Amino acid sequence: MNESMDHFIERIASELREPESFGPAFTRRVMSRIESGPSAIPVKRNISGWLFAPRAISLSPVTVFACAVLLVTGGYLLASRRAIHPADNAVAGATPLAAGRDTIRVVQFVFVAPSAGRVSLVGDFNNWDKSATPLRREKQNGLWTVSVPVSHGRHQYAFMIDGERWMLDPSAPKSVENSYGTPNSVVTVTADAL
Amino acid sequence: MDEIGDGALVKRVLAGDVESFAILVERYTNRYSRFAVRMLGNRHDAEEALQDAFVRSFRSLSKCEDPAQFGPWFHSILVNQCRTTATRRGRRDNRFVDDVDTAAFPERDTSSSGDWSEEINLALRKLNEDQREAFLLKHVEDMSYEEMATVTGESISTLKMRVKRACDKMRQRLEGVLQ
Repeated sequence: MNESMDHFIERIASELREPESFGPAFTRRVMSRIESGPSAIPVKRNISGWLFAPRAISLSPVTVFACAVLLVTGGYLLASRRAIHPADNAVAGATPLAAGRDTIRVVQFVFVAPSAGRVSLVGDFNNWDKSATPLRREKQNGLWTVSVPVSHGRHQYAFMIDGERWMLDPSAPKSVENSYGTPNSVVTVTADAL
Repeated sequence: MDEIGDGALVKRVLAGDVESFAILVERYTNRYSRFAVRMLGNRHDAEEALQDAFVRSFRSLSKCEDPAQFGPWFHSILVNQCRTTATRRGRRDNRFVDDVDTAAFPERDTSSSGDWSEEINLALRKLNEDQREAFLLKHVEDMSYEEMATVTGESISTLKMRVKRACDKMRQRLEGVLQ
């Protein structure tokens, strides 16, 4: 059946097409938030233009190796600090941390399971392999965390507790039911983080 | 006076004329406020989502690949923002709109169009978020499946399935009401 020709659905849709408005003050409220925000775009552009202007540099192999070690160590320390001090509303959940490339983001997955012996992450980004992505237990609060590079798009995932219990992320939206009749948790990775 | 195009406005903003962004806000608020209200089920959350989406689009404006297509680009940000707002609301009060118990609503006389509207909105809120989003984009915003795929990041086959299921549920819930 062609849904666009369905008069019943058309009747429902026509009711829902009634316009909505937030009044003339709405634009002022938005602009007020923008103007009181962190920084205006032109400043950002000028700085980024200076930062990313092409320059010719030469580095010795030893310097390149030292930079690589510093980057890896720094990234690890940053991830550890974020895991121990999660955002106010991210006691459990998946939080994009940083852009690796335009289409890949590092997402931090956090799960609270004080009595678990091991927790792993399973999702469409690791072929639902329960041994591929173990979470690391933090020293306090029963928190388990792992940071994973995830490509742009909507992904389904869940946590596997002690290798056998399938748990959804309580702070994430649920997907429609899979072929086993159960939903999964959903994380959406967008090109532009909030 | 000729209306200034979206592409020119985006370029002005990126050149430092922040006030030009207000013209884009004026231009797209009414067009997209309906989607936010229908998606989130109440005006308070919808206004918050719409404001957040505009602020976010301003901060990401340099990533808008085709400034002349600011509207569809903003729409995709709003769709994501509505999902985020719904999730945040779920955390806040642990009650998604699709958990609303119809038994809590008294029987109504559905003889007037106002009551139809109420019944339709209730049936819409009973859809899960994915189906509600797909139904609104297809049948209320009149988008093609290709446009919906661009805005949502979902495949066309997934969107068609969601729209079909949403239509089936709306029909099931409303056929006895809308004679």
